[in-house]
Amino acid sequence: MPSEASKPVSTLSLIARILLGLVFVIAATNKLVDPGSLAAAIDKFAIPGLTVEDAPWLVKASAYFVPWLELAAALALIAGLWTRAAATILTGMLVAFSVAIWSAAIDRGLSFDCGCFGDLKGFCTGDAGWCNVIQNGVLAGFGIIALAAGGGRASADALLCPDRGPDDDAGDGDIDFA
Amino acid sequence: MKGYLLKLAVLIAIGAASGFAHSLAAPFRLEPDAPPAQTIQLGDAGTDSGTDASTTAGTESGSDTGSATGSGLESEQAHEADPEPTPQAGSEPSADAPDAIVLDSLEIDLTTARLLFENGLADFVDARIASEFEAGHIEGAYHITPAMLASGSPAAIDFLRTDTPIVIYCGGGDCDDSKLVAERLQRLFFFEQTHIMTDGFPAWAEADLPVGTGPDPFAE
Repeated sequence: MPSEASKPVSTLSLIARILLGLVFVIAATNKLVDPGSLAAAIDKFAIPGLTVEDAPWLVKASAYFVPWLELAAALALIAGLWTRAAATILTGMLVAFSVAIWSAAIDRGLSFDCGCFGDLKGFCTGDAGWCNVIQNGVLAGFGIIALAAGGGRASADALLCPDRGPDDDAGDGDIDFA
Repeated sequence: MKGYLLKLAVLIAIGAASGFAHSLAAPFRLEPDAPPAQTIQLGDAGTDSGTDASTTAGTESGSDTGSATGSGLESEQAHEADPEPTPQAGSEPSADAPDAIVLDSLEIDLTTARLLFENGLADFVDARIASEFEAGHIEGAYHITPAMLASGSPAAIDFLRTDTPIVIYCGGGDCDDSKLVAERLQRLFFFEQTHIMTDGFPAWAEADLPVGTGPDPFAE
């Protein structure tokens, strides 16, 4: 529960939340500028059932949905609102992206730009590969910290409901629905 | 646990609703329209390769190059000139020295692209990312990516001729960037004669055809 979290854990969670959240805000906003290019990037992963040839509507839907979900979860994480739910979504996305990159670039040997940050480059500048998987692993580590520690003291969860301990029906340390 | 799952569902619903609204506000298409069919007669220009300034890179190959298509060439609608159009444009090998190039489909093959290039009959556009363009591109190709067209009007647009086929390529195979560029050139900039070289740059380089290297001269 936020109110009971120790100071070091709260600070660690705050740093992890802000770092992971900012990375996803940057990634999401760059993708939102051009969903068409994201659709092309998704197609390059050649995931069966998620290609322009197999299901163009699904590729398009993903190109609109994924960045907005990233942005919503990232803003919630930075604010410390529903921290564990937001961290679950972002960590889950990182795992999914890593599996997709491993499958396409490493297992099947495809050569493509991952489009992880839209038109921007993250730490990895070349074709998708191990660098992106490791990058995602580090970011997922931040997500797991937020997931384990909850929002901590400096979070919307703690500020809006500081003494709700016994009423924490969800048992996740986040603000519950009334 | 129930509340946690509900929060997950709400965040996902926010993403889905925002994405849906975005799709209504700013729809995009992955597939460009088929350009108007045309047959380009190869007169004396067939042996006059490399004289068109459009096949050379740089800012000097500007809009004045459009006049190069006027000599020895005639363009007309394919349904009037060619009663039996080929299934895919340019299926004839260049070694046969064809009298005309039939452009009757969106996609063209390496042979047709080569004929257009050697006769200076098309502008070439490389839709790949900057690092790939720098490493090697069709000689004289302009660098225009889908992202560049999404975020504004690249300077190279001003040098594309409106009365000349535009051949767009990317990495070949499943690459969709050339399709996106073609669609955006059609929809946003009203270029009609956009064609996609489906074999992509790898096939061009493998055929030992002219290749340029270096950065995009228009890059900011």
